[in-house]
Amino acid sequence: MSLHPQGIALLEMMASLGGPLIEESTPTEYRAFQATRVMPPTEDIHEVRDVSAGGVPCRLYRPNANKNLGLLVYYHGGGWVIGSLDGYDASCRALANRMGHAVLSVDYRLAPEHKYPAAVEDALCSLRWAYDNADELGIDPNRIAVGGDSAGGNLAAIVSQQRPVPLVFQLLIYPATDMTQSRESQVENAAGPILTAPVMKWFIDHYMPENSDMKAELASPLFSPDSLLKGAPPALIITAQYDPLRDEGEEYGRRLIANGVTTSMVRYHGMFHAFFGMLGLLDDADTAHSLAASMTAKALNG
Amino acid sequence: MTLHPQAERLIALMATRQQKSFSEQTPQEARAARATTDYKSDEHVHEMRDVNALGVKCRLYKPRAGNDMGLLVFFHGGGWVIGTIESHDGVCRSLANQSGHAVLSVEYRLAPEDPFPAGLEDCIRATLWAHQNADDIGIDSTRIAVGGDSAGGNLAAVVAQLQPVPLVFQALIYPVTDCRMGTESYIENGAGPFLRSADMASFIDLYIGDITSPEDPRVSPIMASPATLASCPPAVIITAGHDPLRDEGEQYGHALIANGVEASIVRYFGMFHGFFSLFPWLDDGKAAVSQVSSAIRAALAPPRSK
Repeated sequence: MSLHPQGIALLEMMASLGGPLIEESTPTEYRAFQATRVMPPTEDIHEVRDVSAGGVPCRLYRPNANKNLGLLVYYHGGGWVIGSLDGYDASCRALANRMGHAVLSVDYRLAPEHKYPAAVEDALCSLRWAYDNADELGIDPNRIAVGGDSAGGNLAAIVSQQRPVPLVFQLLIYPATDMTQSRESQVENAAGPILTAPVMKWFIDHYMPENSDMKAELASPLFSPDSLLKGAPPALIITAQYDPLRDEGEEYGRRLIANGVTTSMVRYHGMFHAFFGMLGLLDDADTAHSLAASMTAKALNG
Repeated sequence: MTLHPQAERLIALMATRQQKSFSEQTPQEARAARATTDYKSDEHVHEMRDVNALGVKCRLYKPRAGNDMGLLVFFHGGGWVIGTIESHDGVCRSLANQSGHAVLSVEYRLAPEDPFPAGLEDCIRATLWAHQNADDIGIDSTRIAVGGDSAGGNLAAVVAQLQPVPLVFQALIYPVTDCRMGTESYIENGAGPFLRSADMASFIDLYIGDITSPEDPRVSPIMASPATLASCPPAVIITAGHDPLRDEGEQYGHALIANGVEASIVRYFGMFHGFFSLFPWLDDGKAAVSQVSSAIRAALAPPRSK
C-alpha cells in the first residue's frame, strides 16, 4: 500500500489514541465516543443558524449577506448510523466560504433507531423544504445542488435520481452506491484503512431492515434503471485509492456518463475513506475541498 | 471512462484550427501555430513585471503587496520545444491570485536550437536567482517551490531532485518522468487526444537526441536513486485519464511515497494532456487550478500559521 505519509501518521496517531472498534460497539456507545473527539478549530463564516426543514433539523451556513445565493444541500457521512452536524461543521464552513454560496447541512434520522428509508425520506423532505422556503434561506430555488460524503453521498445520489425539485449539480464524495458490497475494491481494500468491509457491513446491517431488497433504487443507486440516471444533474465524484467504496463510486460515475450526464471524476491516490473530512489533519482534505467548491460553485453561479 | 463532454468539444474545436499534430510540424511551425491560439488572460494581478534572472527572461507575478510571500518558480510545458511565458501567462496569473503567493515564470531555452541540458540549466539558474534576490523580489527565500506542466513538470521534478537551493514543495502537472516511453498508458492513450506518443517521441528526440540516454535521471526523474527521491520536497501531482503520460506521473508519485516523501496524486479521469492550461474552457481545469493553488497556499504558508 502506498499511503500518503500524512495518512500514515494520522492513522498511527488515531491508533495510539485508542477507542472502541466500531464493529464491536453499539451505535450509542460509538456516537458517545465520537462526541469526545476533539475537532480542529473551524473557520469564521458570515452566518450560521439552525433551521427546521419541515421537521428535519438542519444547519444553514451563509458566507455573505447576498439574498440570492445558490445552495448546496449537504448530507453528512457516517454509515447512516453515526455522524452529526457538529462533526461536519468545519467541512460545511469551508465549502460555503470557498464556494461563496450557502450550505444546508441535514441532520437526517439515524439507524438503527430509524432504519431505511428514514434517512432518504429526511433527505428528500429537507430538500423539498429548502426549495419551497428559498426566500427564508436567502437562496435561489433554481440554483440548488445536493452533495454528501460516504452514506451522505449515497443519499445525494439517490436524491439526484429522484429529484423532487430541479437540481443543478450533485457532489458525491466517495459515495456508497452498492449495499451488496459486490465490487472489487470491497475485497482489495477490505482491511481499510478506517473503513473496513466488516465496518461497512455493520453500518448496512443497522441501516437496512432484514429481508430488504438491497438493490432497491432508494438503497443502492448503482442498480437503478437508466430512466432514473438520465436527466440527473451534472456530477463530480471524488474517490480514494484505498477505499473499499472506490469501485462502486467510479462505476456509478461511468453509469451516469453512459446515460448522458456530464460527470467529472477525480481519484485521490494514496488516500483512504473519510479523508475528505479531515480538514486541518490532511493536506489532501484541504485541496479536495477547494476542488469540490470550485466545481460546485461553477454550477451554483448559474 | 470516456472524455468529459467539455473536453470533446474543445478538442474538436482545436482540431479545426490545427490540422497537423506536433510530430508532423517543424518546431518553428508548432511555435507559430501555438502563438495564434494562446489564451490572452485579462485576470488582474497586483503586480506583473519581466525580470532578467542571470540572463534568463522571467516574469514575476505578485498577487498582493507585501514582502512575506512564498514563491513558485514555474516552468511552462511544451515538450521542451514550444511554449513561452505568454503561453502560460493565464495559468500563472491564476496560480498567483488563488494561492496568494508569488509566481516566477521562466522562459528557458528551447530545443532543438538549445537541446538538453540548456533548458534545465536555465531553470536552475532562475531558481538560484530567485533565492539570491528574494529581498528585492519581496519573497521569503526559505519558502520557494518549483512547479510546471508536462515538460515543465519534468524540469520541476529534476530541479526538485537537484535542489540548487532549499525547496519546500513541488507541483507537477501531468509531468514527463520517464522518457523510456514504456508505460501502459502510452499504449492505451497513444493516439491522444492532443498529445500522441509520436509527439512525445519527437519531443524527446529533439530534447536529448544523442546527448544522453532516456535512463538519465536528469531527463527521467523516475530513474533517480532512492536516496535522491527521499530528499525531494513534498509534491502534488496531477494526472489526466486520457494522457499517455498518466501512468508515469502516478508512478513517480508512488515512488516518492515509497521513499517517505509526502506526495498527493490526483487523477482527473475525463481529461486529457493539456487540460490544466486550458482551464478557461474546462471546469475540470478550473477545479485543478483551485486544487493546486490550495496545495501551494498551504505549502508556502509561513511556519507559524501552519
